[in-house]
This record gives sequence, C-alpha cells and structure tokens, in this order.
Amino acid sequence: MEQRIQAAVSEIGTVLLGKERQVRLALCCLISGGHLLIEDLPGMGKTTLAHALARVFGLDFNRIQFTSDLLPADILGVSIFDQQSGRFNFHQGPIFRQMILADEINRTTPKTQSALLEAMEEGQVSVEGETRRLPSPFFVIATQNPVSLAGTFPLPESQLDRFLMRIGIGYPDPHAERQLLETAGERDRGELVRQQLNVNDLIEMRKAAATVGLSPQLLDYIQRLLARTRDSDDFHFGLSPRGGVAVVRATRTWALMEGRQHAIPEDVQAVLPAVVEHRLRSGSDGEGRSGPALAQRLLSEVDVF
Amino acid sequence: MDVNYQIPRLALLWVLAALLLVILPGMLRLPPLILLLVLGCMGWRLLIFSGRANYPGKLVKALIVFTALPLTVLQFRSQGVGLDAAVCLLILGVVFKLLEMQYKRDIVIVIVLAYVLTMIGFIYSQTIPSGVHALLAVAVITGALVSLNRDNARNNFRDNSRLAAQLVLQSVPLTLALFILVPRIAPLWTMPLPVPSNKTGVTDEMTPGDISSLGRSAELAFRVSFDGEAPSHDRLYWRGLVLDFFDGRTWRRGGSALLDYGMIRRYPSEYRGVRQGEPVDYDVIMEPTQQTWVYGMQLAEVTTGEIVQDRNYSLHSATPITQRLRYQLRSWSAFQTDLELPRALRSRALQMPDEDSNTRSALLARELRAASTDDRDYVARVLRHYREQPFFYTLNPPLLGEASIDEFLFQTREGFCEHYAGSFVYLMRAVGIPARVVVGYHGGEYNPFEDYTMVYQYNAHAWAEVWFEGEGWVRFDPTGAVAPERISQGVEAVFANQPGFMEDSGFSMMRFRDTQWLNTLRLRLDAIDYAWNRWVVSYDQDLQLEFLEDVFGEKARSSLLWALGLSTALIFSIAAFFLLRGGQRQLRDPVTRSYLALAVDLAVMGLPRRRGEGPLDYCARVSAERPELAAAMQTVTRLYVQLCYGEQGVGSEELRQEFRVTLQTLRLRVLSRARRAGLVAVSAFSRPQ
Repeated sequence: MEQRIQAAVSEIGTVLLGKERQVRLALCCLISGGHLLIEDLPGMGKTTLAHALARVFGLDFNRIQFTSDLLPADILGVSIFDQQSGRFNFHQGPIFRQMILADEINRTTPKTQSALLEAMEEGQVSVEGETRRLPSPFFVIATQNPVSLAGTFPLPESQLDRFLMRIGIGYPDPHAERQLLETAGERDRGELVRQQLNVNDLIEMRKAAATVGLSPQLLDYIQRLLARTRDSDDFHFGLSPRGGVAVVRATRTWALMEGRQHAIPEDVQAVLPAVVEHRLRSGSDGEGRSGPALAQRLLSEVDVF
Repeated sequence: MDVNYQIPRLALLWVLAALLLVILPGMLRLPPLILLLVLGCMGWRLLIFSGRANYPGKLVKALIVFTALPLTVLQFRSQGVGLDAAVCLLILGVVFKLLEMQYKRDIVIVIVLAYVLTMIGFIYSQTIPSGVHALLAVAVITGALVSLNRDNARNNFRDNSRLAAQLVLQSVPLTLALFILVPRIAPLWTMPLPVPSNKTGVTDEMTPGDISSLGRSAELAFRVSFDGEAPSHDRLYWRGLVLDFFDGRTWRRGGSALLDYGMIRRYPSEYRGVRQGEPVDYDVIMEPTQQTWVYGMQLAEVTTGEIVQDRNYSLHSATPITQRLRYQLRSWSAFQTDLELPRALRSRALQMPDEDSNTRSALLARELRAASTDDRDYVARVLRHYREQPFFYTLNPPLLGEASIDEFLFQTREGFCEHYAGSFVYLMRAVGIPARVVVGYHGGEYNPFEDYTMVYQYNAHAWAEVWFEGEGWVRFDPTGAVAPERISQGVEAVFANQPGFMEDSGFSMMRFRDTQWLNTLRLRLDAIDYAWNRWVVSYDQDLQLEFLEDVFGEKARSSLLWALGLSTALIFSIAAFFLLRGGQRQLRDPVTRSYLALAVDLAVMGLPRRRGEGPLDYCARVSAERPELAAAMQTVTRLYVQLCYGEQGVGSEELRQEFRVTLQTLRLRVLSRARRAGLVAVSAFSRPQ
C-alpha cells in the first residue's frame, strides 16, 4: 500500500514539480476523508494539484468558480418544470461529483459558502425541502487567495474548522522552476496524470488508517499540544476538540503513509502545521496571519518524550 | 501600538489620585517652587489624558530634568543634602515619570514608587492619622494596580475599589502577624533625620518670663504610666536640668561639661545617693523636644532605654530627641544625695553674680539669717517671708530691670515659679548656704482610660534644692509658699481663668475641659494615642520578646525562630511540590526516563535534545553529527519508539531488556568519549532541553 501511495505521489510530482511534501499532505488529507483548503497566490499550481489529485484516484471531478454573484442553486441544482411530464425535475448542480474544486471560495457570499459547507459537513444537500445524498467519497478542495482581500468574504473560524487541512504551495525551488520553464507549454499538465489508485483503494486505506496504533505516550503528547494552545498567552483561543480529533486522524494517515503501524511524534509534527494553522490565532494578532509561525512555536515549546 | 501594552484610561486616573494622596502630607515640606513643579507635572498629565496636550518632547524633558536638579539643590542648600532633599528628588522623579508614561511597564514603575513613597511617610510621622493615611494610600495604589490589569469591560470604579479594599483587608492579618513575629534587627545604618529648628519644652536657661511663656502652651510634654499606684500630685516633680550659674539675670548650667555629662557610674558609690523607702517603677513616653535632656523623678535609676545620668542626677539622651522617646525608670520614695558635697560642687552652689546690684536682697538675707538659729530655720523664715508679704502668683508678671531680684522681692512682688525659685536660691547663696535651681515639670493630668498621667508644657515648673550638712540636697518649692494649690492641685486649678493661660493653643480641646463630654472625649483620644505609642510605635525587640514569652513561655526566642523557619520551609515545600509535580508525573515510565538520561549524556557532548524534537529527528541529528554513534543510536531509538509508541505489551519484556542493554552500552560510550574530551557531566540532573 505504501508503494502505491508513493507511486501516486510521484505521479502527481510529474506535474507539480518539487512539491512532494505538499502533495503528501494533500493525499493524507484525502485519505483521512477530510476536505482541503489550499491557500496561495494565483498561478502557484492550486488547480493543477486539485486536478492531479482527482485524476490519480480516478474520481469524477468538477470545478466551480466562485464569484460574488454565485447563488446556492448554482451549486446545488434546481428543479425545473417539465411541460411534457407536467412535473418538476431536479437538475443536479455541479456539486454532485466525487471531487469538487471550489476555486476562490472566499469570493462568494456567505450564503453560498454555507451551502457548500453544509454539503462538506453532512455529505448531503437539502434542496427544496428534499435531502439528497452526495456521491461517496465526497471531497472538496477549496482554494483562496490570501493577499487581495478586496471584495471577498473571508471564511469565519467556524467554517475554516470544517477543513481538515490548510496548505500553501509556495514558489518552486530553482531546480524545479528551471525544469518547469524548459517544459513549459509541452503539456496540459493535469491531463498527463495517469490513474494510480481507485476508489476501493481509498476505502481500504481509510480502513487501514483507522487501525494505526496510538500509544498513551503519543496521546499524552497530543494532549499537551492542545493544552498549550489553551493555556498560553501566545494564542488568542485554544484548539477545539474537533481540532484535536483532526490532528489524530491526520496523524494516523501519515503514519500509514510512512509505512508504520504506529504513530510516532514525528507524524504528529509532520501534519500539525497543516491541521492547526487555520484554527489558531495569535494572542496579539487580530488578522490571523501568523499561523505558520504559531504552529512552529507550538511544536518547539512542548516536550516530546 | 499593541492594545495589550496600552494603559487603560481609568488606571491613569487611579494612579494620579493615588500619587496625589501619597504626596499630600509631604507637600508642606516641599519648597514652594518644587511643589509648583510637581503640581504642574500632574496637571500636564491630566491635559495629556484629556487630549488637550501632547507628551513632552525630548528637549522639553531634558530641560525639565536639568532645571529641577539644580533647583532642588538650591532649595535645600541651607539644610545640606539630607533626607528632605532625597525625598524631594524621588517625588520629582515620580512626577516626571508621569509625563513619559505611555506603556503599562512605565505605570508599574510609578505604582511601585508610590508604595515606596508611602513607606517614606513613616520616617516623618508615626501617628495614628499617618497610619490611617498610609492604609488608605495603599488601598488606592492597589486600586490603580487592579485597574491597570483589568480589561476594559470590567474596569469600573466600583469593582476596582471593592477588589482593592478586599486585597488590602486580606493583607491586614498577614501584616499584623509579620509585625508581631518578624525579629527586630537593629538598623545597619541610621537615617540622618531632619531636625526641626524650633526646640520645645524647658530650656537650659532660665530668665524671668521663660517658664511663664510655657504656661501659654497646652502641648503635650510627656506621658507617664506607673507600675502600681501613682504618687500623689504634690510629689510629682519631674526633674529636668540643674541650673547653678547666675549672672544677675539669667540662670544657666554652670561648671564643666565633664562634670555634667560624665556618667554617674564613674563616680564613687557614695555620690550615687542613698535610696530609701519603696521603689516606684514607671514608664515614660516623651514627645520630641530637639533637646538632649529627659525627665524623671528625683534620683531615678534607668531600667531600659538609652539614657544616662549626670553628676547632678539629671537624665540625658545621647542624641537630640527628634522622635517620641520611650524609657523606663525606677525612683525611690525617699532618698539622700551628696551627703558629702565636693568642693567643686560646693563652689558652684555658692556662686554669686560678679556685678551684683541686688543689694537690698543681700541685706534682707543677712538680717533674716542673723535672726534664725540655724540654716533650716533660715529657710523656714525665707519661706514665711514669701507667704506673709503680699506676693502674688501670676502667669503675666511685670518686666524686671537690672537688679531683677531686688525689683521682684521689694517692688513688683508678682511672679511665676521662676521668679520664686530664682530669688529663693539667691537668698540662700547670699548667706553661704549651697543652693541651686532645678527646672522641669510638676504635676500632670491623670487619664483614667489607660491609667497614665499626661504632663503638658504648661506644667513646666522651677524649684530649688538646698544642701544641708548631713542631709544632702533637700527640695524646697517657694512657689508652694505663695500658691499652695499650685502644688496640691496643679497649675490648671490656679490659672484656669487667668488671661494668657494656654493662650497659644488656640481652640485646643484643653480649653473646653469644663464641658464634661468634651473633656471625656479629649481624655479618650489621648488614651488611644498613648496606647498606639506604647504598643505599636515603640514595639521593639524587648517588647516583642516580652510578648512572645507571654504567649510561648520562656523559650520564646528559639520557638520564634523555629516557627518562622518551619513555616517558611512549609510554604516553600508546598510551592515546590506544585511546581515540580507537573514535570514528574510524565517521567514515571522507566523507559522514557532512561531515554531522557541518554539525551542528558549527549548534551554533555554538545548534542542536547531540543525541545519538541521527536526521537527520530534527534536520532538523525546525532547520527549525522557523530557517525561513530549512529548505529547504536539508531538501534536505541528504534527500540525506544517501539516501546514507547508501538503496540503496547507485544514481546515487551525482551524488547525492554534489549533496550536497557543497548542504552547502557551507548551511554557508557558517550560518557567515556565525553570524559576523554575533557567534558564533565555537569548537567546530569538538569531537565532535558
């Protein structure tokens, strides 16, 4: 299983050069059954990553570009009167796919955002008083641009909490960038990714991850981390229990991806920044821009045994 | 600016109020210019607060500081660099800090300084009102501290005052316990106390009119409490100084300083006086006089206090009395002093003015002496002369000219006690009988509420001592011959309606002593003040020991030390327990403990485990730095991770064994390497970093 995951990582690596760590985190997030928030500048490869992830699992995929005039019905679907049958027929919206790329999620109104978020949390949508199940698995990969905030509706904490991880992609290193420039225009990159895994693999992995052992010492360590966010003045507020559960889920998957049957502190440390950064806010920071430094500080201030 | 470092607005008002309250009693001591500067700075701060002025710039600040310094020096130039100047500089420093305080850090400094200023107040005054003031000031300063540390939502005047009052009240029992129990240690240095220029009380000169002017003052001189019953009023002679040099107008202390100030212990025992009758023990608390002499009854023996006795049996303190002084004395109901009068003393007791114009008085003396059988008879005749001639005892005697004795004895015949004492001694000396003037106080008012006697300035008195062969010095009071009720009932009874009596005391409560309830109130207030002085202000090492012996029995000192030591140890061990418990709970697992010990060993080699570093990361780092240890380190780490984070209880005993062995081997290697490199395992007990 480890090899297959590695194969998937390499496969995505052919289109998103030199970003193995981010790819692994994204895969970890999907295997853990969580939704992913990618936050970075335009043109950094957010969409490419999302495409590649979809293709490598062979999931059917849809992209929704969020704009300020997007309405919930545009995502969820509408019932249209069929004159021939004399009935209302429900036309599914773009959300009825296994994987959704919600591009620029913070550009749309809270109303539309919350429609998506209900789908994310419940795995179902309510349209016109009728609850409709979404396909399983159901993933949302949302992207947002952290810099130009004019005319946006930033996601509130409660909604950020729905995402298992938030990752950035960052500029490529010089070597990868050189390679990228050389091969520019030769490919439609997302399309090149071949399927490596299927839905059954995903379900299998998810089951395997659930069996990854967590020793009392490791749980103590996670608890110390959580307690630190609540006790220390560095943090505006502490992590929620849901945040704690998210850390455990991601840790298990990461240990599995590393080929271990038991999680170790390094697994926690690998996933922690991505899992908690968007859930934390510095005690002296009203803007919530200090996530990465905070997670690093948290890790360097809590003892591992 | 970060909101967390800003000063809450309410806190600023609190601090200003606290500072004003603290400085208030000291304001009168500040020179007017400095006071103006202080108030100006506070006003400026208020303007900044209300947004009507800005913080002073660097230049202005420098200007203020560099004018204030020379100004202070200039203002205090005459008094020298002493406590007053230092306190003034401190106050200036605090108000200047007001002007530049922008952050919480600054305001904390001001608050701490306000506490210090409150304490400094006690150097100047230790009365009940100043105690109450200090308590109030501490409460307001604490309120400022509370207000500073509260977030804006709950920062309101009522809650802050309530919390501050609670805190202060809670601290009262602790303060009391500390006050009673903490050992009093003699100060390592003494404070150069400010010396008020106006000396009060009886002086070491007596010119007609001096003592009668004291009659105008109702200020307290001292308070006495007797062990057992107080002597009757006519025996309450509080002896001050002996004046034996007369220049025709003024009586002074004569003789050499050596004779006066030498401690009586240096003299042979026959000069120390013969004690007879019952001993009387009493305890005196004296008001500051700025003089060195203190008061006691005849032939007093000092039992406690820094008091010495001179050759004339007067009592002296080593330094001027600038603060209330407490001492204990023992006198005897009967006594004889100087049965043998040395020649030096005799000549001093017979000294007459060089240019004596009191011829009529001398003539009178010789006539009376010729008519009497012996010296005692002569004294009786002189006293009878005072009684039978129309002498008048008054607080407002007419002024006397050159031949003061003659004028008093034959013309005015109106005088206060100094006139009678002075002329009486003159008449003795004129016929060769050794005599001298004694000044001090007589009488006192009994306060039933605390069982003590109050002696006021208007109790000041002068009398005479005459030496007889075989009897020594005998006290005679010629005033008693003229106004017997002065001696038996006190000066108040004589002068109550005479103009001038207690005239300088304004609306003193003394003047309303005829109103029953006011008089009771006055006595009650004085009793409280007395108790405060006796039990609080003069609570020193001896009193503390006495008190503790009452409570704990004989071994008070050692049990006090034990109690202090044990309670301190208890407090610290409780604190230590709570501090250390957190860390120790997680170290119970022996595997973790030995792994951490390895990390400590590696720290000696310069490879400490970083905080928050996982075992695999640490292993990788150690392996990279010390390739020779890599294999063993990896094995140990693998086993550790398996034991600590792997499936619990699977083949654990063997794993444990293997882990122990490999770890021990690795630690030995590490330590031997470290020793070879000359490093010492100093950090064996330190916590892993």
